[in-house]
Amino acid sequence: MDFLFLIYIGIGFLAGFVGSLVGLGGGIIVVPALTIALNMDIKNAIGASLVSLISTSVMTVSVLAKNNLVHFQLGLLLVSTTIFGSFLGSYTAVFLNPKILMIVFASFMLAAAYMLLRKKKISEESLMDTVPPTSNALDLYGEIKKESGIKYFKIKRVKLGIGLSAIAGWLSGMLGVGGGIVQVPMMNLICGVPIKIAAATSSFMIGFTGLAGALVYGLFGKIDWYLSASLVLGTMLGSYAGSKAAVKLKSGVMAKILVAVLIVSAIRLIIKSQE
Amino acid sequence: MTEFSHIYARLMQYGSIGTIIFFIIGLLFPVVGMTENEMQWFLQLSGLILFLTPLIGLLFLIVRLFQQRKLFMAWWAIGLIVLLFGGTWLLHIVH
Repeated sequence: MDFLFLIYIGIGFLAGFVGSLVGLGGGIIVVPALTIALNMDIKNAIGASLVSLISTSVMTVSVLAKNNLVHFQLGLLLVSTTIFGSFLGSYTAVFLNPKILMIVFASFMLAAAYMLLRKKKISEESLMDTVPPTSNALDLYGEIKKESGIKYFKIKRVKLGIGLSAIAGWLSGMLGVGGGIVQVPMMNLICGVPIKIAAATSSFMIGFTGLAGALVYGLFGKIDWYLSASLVLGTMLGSYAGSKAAVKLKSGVMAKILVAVLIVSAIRLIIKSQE
Repeated sequence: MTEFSHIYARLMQYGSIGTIIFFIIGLLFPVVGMTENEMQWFLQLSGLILFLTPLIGLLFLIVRLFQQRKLFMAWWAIGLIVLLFGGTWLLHIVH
């Protein structure tokens, strides 16, 4: 175990902690840390990051599902189109100018951060005391434990959410950024899902998005298993600590953390687009 | 879904613990005099445990959805597995 091994674990811990706190995979921390700080080949960094996405998801969901924060059905509906979009995105990236796409994506994230700041209480206001009526398989509702007891919320615009998830997957596949950064604000703002549930459901989805990418990278022998194993150890510890903190944190605090992450990521993308 | 959430959480917990144990053992291979190749082989095997964990969880979810007669969601989940492996296979072929 050399010094570098400890750095990998440290990077993994940070990525896992922040990732599980706000429902992101942590790739937004791992990839730049490995490529910019450690001057590593980006393909190796992405391959290891994808493996660590799965570990973040597995560890986070092991804590959050116990607290009934994961909406499995919504996650299933959204992740299918995300994976489909992600496959398409990875091929689109070959033909389009990534610099333009980075600026578009950064603008989208800044817009999402602005909307979250302005409307972060939208889902809190639509909570109900009784189970809302449902008419078909896509007519979903969820429940969340509040101080005043169990409250219910209706998941709005599911079809739009499924469609947008494909676009989110397409963008993330193209830019190599985890889908959570798009999915969490989308679930919160468009589908009306409380942010705590949205973050937990996103963590569930990230496991499959990461798996799709890791399978492709694995098939092409682009996964450095020594690096991946070190990152996974750090990520799992960080995810566990982050998910424990996520259960205790209030939705408002998590929304602020998400806004901060969105702004920082957008600035990073804009800077990267100018390189 | 409350009961299922707890079962799913437990499955993910077992997968996490298994992955951590296997990865630590794998990373310690050079310390006990094993070769680089043996370490890589063992770490890949450990990675397989990590890859299988969400898939096993998904299979349990499918069984649960069939039990609850939520057939649309159950078939959607099966479609997800087909998409996951089919997409990877297609990409492999196209590449």
